[in-house]
Amino acid sequence: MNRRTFVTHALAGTTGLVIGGARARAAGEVNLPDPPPIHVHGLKDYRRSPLGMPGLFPGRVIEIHDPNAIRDNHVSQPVVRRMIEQGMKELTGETSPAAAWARFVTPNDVVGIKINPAGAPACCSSPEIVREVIHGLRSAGVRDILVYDRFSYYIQAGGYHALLPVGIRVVGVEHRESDVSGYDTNIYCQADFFGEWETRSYLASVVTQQITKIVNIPTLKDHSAAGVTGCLKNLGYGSFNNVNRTHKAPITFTDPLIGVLCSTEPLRSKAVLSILDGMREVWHGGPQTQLQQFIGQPGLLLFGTDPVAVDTIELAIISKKRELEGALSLWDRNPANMAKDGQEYSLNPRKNLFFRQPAHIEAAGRLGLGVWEINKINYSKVEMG
Amino acid sequence: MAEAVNTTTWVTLLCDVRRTGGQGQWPGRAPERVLWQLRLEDSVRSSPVLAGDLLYITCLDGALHAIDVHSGREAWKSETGSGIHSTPAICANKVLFGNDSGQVFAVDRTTGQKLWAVSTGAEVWTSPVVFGGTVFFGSADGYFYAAALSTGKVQWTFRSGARIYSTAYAEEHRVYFGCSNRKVYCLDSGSGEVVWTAESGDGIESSPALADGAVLIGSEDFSLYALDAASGIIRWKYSTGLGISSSPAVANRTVLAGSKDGFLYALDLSSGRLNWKVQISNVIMASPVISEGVVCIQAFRGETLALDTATGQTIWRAQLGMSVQSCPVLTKSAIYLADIEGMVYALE
Repeated sequence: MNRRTFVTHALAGTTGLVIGGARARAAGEVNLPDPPPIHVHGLKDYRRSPLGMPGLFPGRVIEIHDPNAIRDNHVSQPVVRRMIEQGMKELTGETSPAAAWARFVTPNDVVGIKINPAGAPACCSSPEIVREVIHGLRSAGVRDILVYDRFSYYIQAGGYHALLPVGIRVVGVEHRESDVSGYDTNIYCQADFFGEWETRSYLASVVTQQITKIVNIPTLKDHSAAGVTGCLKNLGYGSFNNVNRTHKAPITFTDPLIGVLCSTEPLRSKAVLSILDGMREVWHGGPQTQLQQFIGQPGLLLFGTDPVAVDTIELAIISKKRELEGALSLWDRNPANMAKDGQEYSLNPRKNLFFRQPAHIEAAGRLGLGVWEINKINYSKVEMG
Repeated sequence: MAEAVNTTTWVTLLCDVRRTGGQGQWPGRAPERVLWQLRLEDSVRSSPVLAGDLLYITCLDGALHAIDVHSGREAWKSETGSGIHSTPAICANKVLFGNDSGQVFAVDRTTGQKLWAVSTGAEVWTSPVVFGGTVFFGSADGYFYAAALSTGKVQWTFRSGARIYSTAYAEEHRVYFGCSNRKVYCLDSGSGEVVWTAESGDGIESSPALADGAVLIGSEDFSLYALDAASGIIRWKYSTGLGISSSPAVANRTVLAGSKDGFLYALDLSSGRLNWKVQISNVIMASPVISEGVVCIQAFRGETLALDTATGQTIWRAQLGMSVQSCPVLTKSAIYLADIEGMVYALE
């Protein structure tokens, strides 16, 4: 392993766990610092749900592709409906979409749909997909559904409030910088990464106090620090606050913090399903680029309950695309390829802003969140259209 | 504290019931200094309005704030107990606005005392529009409401079945608004009966303007539409790179609208032909306001720009806070604007 850290858990019995993504270092690469110890303060006596990550289908990933799903940057609602119905049936083995949804939720659940609006409006969780997830949840009898993310202004940029059905609550946890009112101070991860004055990241109250299940809708997107932002990053960094402090260019501690956050209860147990939105694909400049030259339109969806397995497939897809486009490898650690600033990075796929940490996926796997070895993943592709 | 002199009223979204954007009231010079600035308790997502010596602004802290434009100090605030995204509207002695709990309030504009409230089933982000003694507003509960200005008594409701975030445009006998079910509605303002509907390709958050017998409105389907106000038939539509939540402004037969693709578009009112477009930011969600040959707009990432309406050339640019959909108030002597950090600025 090339990066290791020590994670301790309060209240759940203190356990020492050394984690970190593994990868041999190439000649000429920098030697990155080890992350600091991370202290997790979770819920006392919380009983882990069998539906929680990695969930009902560890190591299983279903890809559904339809060439008609997106045309000229417009997502087709009817095509997406068929894709989601098919994907849910393929994932669960059920014969009807309603039965498939019922494997994860009951009518008494309060379901939170975790969107990724950070790239809004150019690349965020498609409202068409969110609408179909709402349709599916309602087919299983769920009445209380909310859509959430940390940042209400990105939600507004995505237009979700105006594009979703009547009766769906749209919740932005933070309305402006340093707004901590929407967080539960009893649940946090504590670590001092760069000498920051606030060393805790708190979990959103909407997760701890309102919702009973989470359906995660990340996007297919590269990330300047984490390598990619998929199920794990969307869930962890989109539910805990004060996580930007893990980045100080060119160093980032997204590995291992993303996995540690996702393993914290009750977030881990409540996240029962992920549908990764690959209608669009940001292959450079993520997470917030608006530049269309770096945004493809592959029109695919990935289904899974195992966020590590889904993100491993996402990493492979984006790595392949970047290779085709002549972009730097997501694993590149050559200091000569570091951009002088964000502007240069945003325009040049041969530059990095951070020594990216795609090994955060493996680190999450080592925390028990899922399968990271690609040859152990049960990956099925279904072509529609 | 410096003194701002006001000879202007700016009583509702984009200035007045005709939604003119304050045309002719502002000379378009670059602001030279900050007269005052004030930080509110929470983020501002709405636009300020102005009457007399008071600037009225709603905030996610749940209050309507009345700010003395001379001192920049708060004269009073009216609490509602829930966040507010709705831009206030002023009519006679009343300030009207909705809140995120689904209530619409009328408060006394000099004291902030509540006069009446109407309850709906979900958040009201739209700005109430007053015409002929009636207040019109849409709610996220899927209903459009008409209430008496004097009492708040609901006169009629119209069920669209889908969330309404588009502020209505009212005129004699007609009221127009967009809806998240892709439709633009024209209702009889006296009865709430449907006169016509027109359908776009996606949900609508943009608020309509009316000019030359055309209803002008943006859609999340990336297009700006000009609909015949009498029939709803599409006269023209113009496609941009992303959705349009910005509400269009019209001056000298030019329609100006921002798109989430970051461009400000200037189109010919009659034909929809592009006169010019300028990328001013990564994302535009707010509405432009027009003065004497100058269009002013706040962009998502914090830029506030003034451009020549004829050419699109930048006249001045200021880096202030991020704006989601807030628009500035322009007067002869000052510009008032707010950002998502809750900062309110008076620029001379």
